[in-house]
Amino acid sequence: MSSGASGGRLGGGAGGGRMSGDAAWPLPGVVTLADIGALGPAISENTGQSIAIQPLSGRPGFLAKIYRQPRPAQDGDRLDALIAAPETLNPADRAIVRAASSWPVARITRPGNAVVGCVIPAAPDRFKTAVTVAGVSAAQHVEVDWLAKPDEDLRQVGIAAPGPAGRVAVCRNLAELAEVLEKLGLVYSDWSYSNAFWSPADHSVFVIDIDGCQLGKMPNVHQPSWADPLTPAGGDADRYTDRFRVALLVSRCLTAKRRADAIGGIATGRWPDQPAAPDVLLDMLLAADRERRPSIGQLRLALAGGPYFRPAPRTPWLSAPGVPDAALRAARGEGPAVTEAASAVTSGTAPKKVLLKPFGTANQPSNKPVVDLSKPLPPLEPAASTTPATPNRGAGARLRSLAFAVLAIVLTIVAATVAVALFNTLIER
Amino acid sequence: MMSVYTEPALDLGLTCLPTYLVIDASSSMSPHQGVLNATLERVYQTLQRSPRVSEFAHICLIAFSTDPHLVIPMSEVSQVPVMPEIVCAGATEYGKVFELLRQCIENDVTALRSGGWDVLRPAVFFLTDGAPTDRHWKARFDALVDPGWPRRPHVISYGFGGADPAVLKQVYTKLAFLADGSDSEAALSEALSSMLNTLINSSANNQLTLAVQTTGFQTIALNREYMD
Repeated sequence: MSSGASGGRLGGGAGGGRMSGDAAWPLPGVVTLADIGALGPAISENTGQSIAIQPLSGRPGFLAKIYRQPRPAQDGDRLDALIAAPETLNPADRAIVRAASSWPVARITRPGNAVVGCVIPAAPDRFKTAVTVAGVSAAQHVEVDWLAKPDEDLRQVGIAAPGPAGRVAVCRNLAELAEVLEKLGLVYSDWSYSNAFWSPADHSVFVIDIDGCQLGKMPNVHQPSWADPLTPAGGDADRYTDRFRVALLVSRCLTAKRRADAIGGIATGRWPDQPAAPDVLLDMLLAADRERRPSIGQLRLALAGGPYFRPAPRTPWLSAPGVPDAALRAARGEGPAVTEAASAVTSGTAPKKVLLKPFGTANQPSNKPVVDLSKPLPPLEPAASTTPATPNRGAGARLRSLAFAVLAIVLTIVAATVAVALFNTLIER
Repeated sequence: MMSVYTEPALDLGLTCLPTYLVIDASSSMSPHQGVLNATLERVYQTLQRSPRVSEFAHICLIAFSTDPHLVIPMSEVSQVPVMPEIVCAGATEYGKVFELLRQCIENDVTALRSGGWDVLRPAVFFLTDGAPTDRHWKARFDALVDPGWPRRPHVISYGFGGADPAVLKQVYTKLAFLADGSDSEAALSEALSSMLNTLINSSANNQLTLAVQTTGFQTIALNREYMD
């Protein structure tokens, strides 16, 4: 068994005992088709890199993903390292990958072919919901694709509408999983509508196709409406590509807009309980320097209502198609506020392409609070763990502010009373 | 401190594949009408249940017999409230439907582009169970797929029932499938399923991706290809 790829956080052997939701994988990390036993009818055929995905008849909750073509032996090493990676994580992160992804639990091999496929956990049933079309109801996995549509469209097919708070919750859960991948140095690249399910009941997520992740970089799969303008189509995708695509997916799910107008929606929308989220998302999407895109961990923190630790000076932005410069200037705090309606962002007539014109300047002062990275920063993790991930966090903060104000007034009155008493005492003497 | 780059461009536009489903609704189809409508409903249901496929594959349904009928104009499937049922009757006139297709494509591509879509070369799925009853249809088909017309579509044809192989060979550009004759209704259902799989795979790849193997059908040829 290989110890896996080098140069990143992946490592360790691919042993047994990995969990899949509620069930533990009881076999070793490398198995043959004979080991896993009979397979049920395919639930998916000829999609992506797989020729079929079939349930393991004798092991409920697990699927065999059979690859279209044989892969080189070194891909077996990569897969083994990936399978072992969760054991290198802290318990909280390990729980995230086990609950929120189809992280592979075993490599399937046979003589002469190191990588026939892999065993992955099936998405739990809570990611299925009844979708009703023209009076016909059928249970299906709900892809995040549906979140990029307005709540009303979801109600029409019987999917419980998430509302703004639910959308934030789904996106935060998605960012949590993506953050773990980023911590491991893994590149996913294929962030899009079809690779994650969400639960309308509890807003949890389940990301699929984790087995394709690679360490550090991987071929950039060109996806027209997900194209990172600063990652060449023929080049490699890396962490910065993932940051752009995760931000785009989150923006589309938050705004229920499918085109570039999602960027306008973020720039002009109101997020009172996640005040830093627009700044983080717009920096991830529009930073003229791709290496200054904020991390996915920073996005997760902002979606949890936390602060944004923005490098200073601020990076310029690219223009965004269909979004007036005034709206972007306002979003940067460099111009008057622009409402969503006034920004004239329309889904039907938005121009598709714009020249990459850096927007704003690094030296232009902003009236928004920023943290100067030349000074020591508070650690991110404690801030995240102490930040309640509840939509009404803004109300709590307001209550705390009110309590401090009342306390200050009471102390002032007490001090004044004491001072007057002392003064009277002195006068009487 | 503003500088301008000419490349690359931020392009978040959406790609769509104008998809024309052209169904032979002549009287010879009457025995298979139930299967036809049930399968069309299944296609509609499947497309409706996936926003990204529905968004990618804009659909136009044309039924033809003595005359062509534009049953569903080019639409995102999510905007189509219900799939109408087809009652088959009439002759099998090919020429007029090819002419209508060319008109529709000309208008639809313009409309989609003005709506901000990146438009792929249209795909026509042509299902027929018989030989044409008109005589001058070939010239109209040639006009439809004229290499000199920039918007010429890809044509994928499915022949079943009494379809004439010699005719079917003349009405495709990408692929043609001829049912083996054992079960016309199964072949009809399979043809529409094949089209559906093509749309789903195409949406995943953002380009026309054909399913070349279709159960119960024999692939006629792959050697006739128009350049994009």
